[in-house]
Amino acid sequence: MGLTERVAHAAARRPHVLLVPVPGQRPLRWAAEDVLDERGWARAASPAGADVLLCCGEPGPELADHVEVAWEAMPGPRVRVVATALAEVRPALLTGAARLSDLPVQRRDARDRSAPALSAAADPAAEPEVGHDMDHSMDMGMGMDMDMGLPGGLQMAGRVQDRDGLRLEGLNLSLGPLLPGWPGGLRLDVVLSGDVLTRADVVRLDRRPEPGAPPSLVALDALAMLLDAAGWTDGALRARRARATGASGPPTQDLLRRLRRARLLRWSLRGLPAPGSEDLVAHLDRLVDAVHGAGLPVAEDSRLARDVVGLDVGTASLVVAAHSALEAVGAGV
Amino acid sequence: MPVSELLLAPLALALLAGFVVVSYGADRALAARAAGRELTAAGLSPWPDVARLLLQRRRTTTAPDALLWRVGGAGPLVAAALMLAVVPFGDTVIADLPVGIVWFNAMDVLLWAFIWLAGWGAASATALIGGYRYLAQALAYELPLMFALTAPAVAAASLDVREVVAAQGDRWHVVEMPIAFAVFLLCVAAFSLWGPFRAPAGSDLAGGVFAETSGVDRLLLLAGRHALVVAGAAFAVPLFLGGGAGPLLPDWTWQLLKTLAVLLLLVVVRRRLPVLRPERFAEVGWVLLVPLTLLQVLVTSLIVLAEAP
Amino acid sequence: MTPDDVTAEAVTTVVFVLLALVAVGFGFLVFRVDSMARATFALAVSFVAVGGILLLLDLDYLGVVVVVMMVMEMAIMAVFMIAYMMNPAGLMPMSMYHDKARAMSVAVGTFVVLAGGALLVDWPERQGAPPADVTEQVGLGIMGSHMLVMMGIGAVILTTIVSALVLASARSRYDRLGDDLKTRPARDPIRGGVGP
Repeated sequence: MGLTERVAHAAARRPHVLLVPVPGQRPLRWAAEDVLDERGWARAASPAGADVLLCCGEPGPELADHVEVAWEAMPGPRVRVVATALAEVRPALLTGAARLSDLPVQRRDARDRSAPALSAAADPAAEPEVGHDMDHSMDMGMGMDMDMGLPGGLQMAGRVQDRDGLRLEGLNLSLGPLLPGWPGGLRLDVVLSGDVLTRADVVRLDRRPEPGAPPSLVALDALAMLLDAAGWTDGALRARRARATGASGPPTQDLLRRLRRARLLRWSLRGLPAPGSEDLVAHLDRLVDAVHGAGLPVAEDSRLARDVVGLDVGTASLVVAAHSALEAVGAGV
Repeated sequence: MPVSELLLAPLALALLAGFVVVSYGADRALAARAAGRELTAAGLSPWPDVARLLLQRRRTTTAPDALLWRVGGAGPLVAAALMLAVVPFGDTVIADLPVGIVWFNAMDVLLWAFIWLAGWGAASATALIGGYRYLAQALAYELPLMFALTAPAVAAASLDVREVVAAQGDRWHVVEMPIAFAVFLLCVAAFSLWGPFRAPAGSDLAGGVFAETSGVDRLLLLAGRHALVVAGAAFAVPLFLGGGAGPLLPDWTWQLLKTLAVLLLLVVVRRRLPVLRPERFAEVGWVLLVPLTLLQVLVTSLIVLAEAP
Repeated sequence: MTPDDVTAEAVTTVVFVLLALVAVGFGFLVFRVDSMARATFALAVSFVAVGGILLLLDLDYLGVVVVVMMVMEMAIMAVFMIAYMMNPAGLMPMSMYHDKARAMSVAVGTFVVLAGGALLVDWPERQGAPPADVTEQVGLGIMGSHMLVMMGIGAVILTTIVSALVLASARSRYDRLGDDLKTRPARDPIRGGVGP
């Protein structure tokens, strides 16, 4: 048994954390991200790869359903912690990591878990997947009737016209709210044909206004989200570090210098729709200006829903990252 | 390096593991520098991540294709090990194939199957999209890779890796064919889902092909991914960097040092570049890289003709 | 023959039989499994076994190239099979047989004729040793002095494929770049990586 304990302690040194950002609790999310960066812990991309589930704030009723699905989807050993105040974030993460190596607790949790109920009716809460998949649909093509019951309660897909004029399957999928880098409570209900979005609905779960923050810090946060979505993790790390040390510190100057030279990043962001700018490259420049004190662009959900139709999932998440970090001033609706 | 036949394969695997650890450590070191936290020896070790995956339970989804899923998950590691079999280590090589270069190509083509299967088998929308993204990316890089592999073969008039090393006696291939070297490194990153080419495993897809894997399955796939980069870096050395050639130190030491250098270069590229999405990269691969590599093969052929006795 | 030769031949025969069984067996499995993905990759395994048999014939390059080509093709074929066929995941049982009696007799009959021919025909005995580079000899034997023509034909085929795609495409340069070919950026559903 000594061996398992040693492995568990080693594992608890670097847990992968699934962050649940709660709308209206942006400072908690910032604090959690800062703790993760400071300790070198990884942010999990899916519940399957997560050990610790941290709710940055008390989730509202709609978000809590998604958190339950994610919690069920996490394989053991797993820990769930909630931080409701700024001072609680770091202790919550540390106790969470400590509880990971607490073998008796984990064994009890494993024993008490029940197998997910794979009933014939496709019960979304029972699907062992994060809440971004409400409806497994198989692409069964032409001529088959809709009431054929497939194993596992799966349904057959309908067909929709896609962007290129083909009739492909229409997969109803929910992207978010727990995808990494997505802001609190944003869910995109889409109809995918292939990986192209043919329809998108923006759903804001438990919408609350965010507490005020200096625009330069919000701009740095928006930059971090955009750089994470664009796949430049070092850039995102530097942006979050700049956010933590303040907009006039050396990390900020370093980040802005690197952004000026980031040609490949600009090439990959060319031509994509952005809130209030011609494309994402212009949006990037506007965010850089906002760090220096200019105003932030305003984002609207209706615009987002229109912009992502016709894009594929990867590009859509870039556009979402650009839109969503910017709450419209005075938004509470 | 005099080593008995039986020890060759375990030794190669041990070196593979060692280099994976080194590349992991280098990656974490660069990440720590960007995040502004201090480097500690414990922070560079992959052991915590391996430990958590060893302890984690495996999971499954509704109606997965379990056989194909597990084959896809374990496949990349097997492909990486088989790629290493044709890399000469000083004088010794595990599999002395007269068609070593084509064998390497065959192993990286097997990845088309394995990674797509890892995406398909998981029976999850995001994993499936990840698998298809890999095929889109692969279609773009495969032809440039094949032409980049052809250039050293043309220069050495042989497909045998040892003869390619021997043909670089006075002038390394990287000097003659820099484009082929650059494209080869790019394609190594592309087939290992490394750095700018990790869209199939991207976080916008909740991890893509990694989305539903956990525990040992995830460990195998992650290990395979890192092992592929090491195998690709190791193969670049005999092909473009003169194999074990170098002053003072024995062949096998130079082979290891050069592999390390290429590996560190790939790690730096991973940290510095954003993700190149497959739909952007497709045009780059076909419109830019295929003509460039063809031109490279032409230039190499002209050099061979000019230097023919 | 020396004892080493006997062992080598025995090993070769055993490996050949195994690979042959895999090739035929997995080929048959293509029609037995319900899932399109499994059918495609059963076919891939069958082709890899054929590549292995070519390796046994000392045709190293051909054997490995068969593996390269076939696995790539199977991966792309899987995409199309899943796009076009019903029941791609095999969740519903289905039968892929049509006209069973006639198809089976033709298939088995062809196999018997070919295998019987391979086993029963009086092949000439090999004189001397195989040449150093078997692949090169096979290539010279088949194509002889026309090798350059074959390579040229390869380039022509590629050009034909590209031209056919351009002709078949619903959108031409003028749709993308406007009537004066000067619209920048091009009017595409998604933006490409290089060029207009």
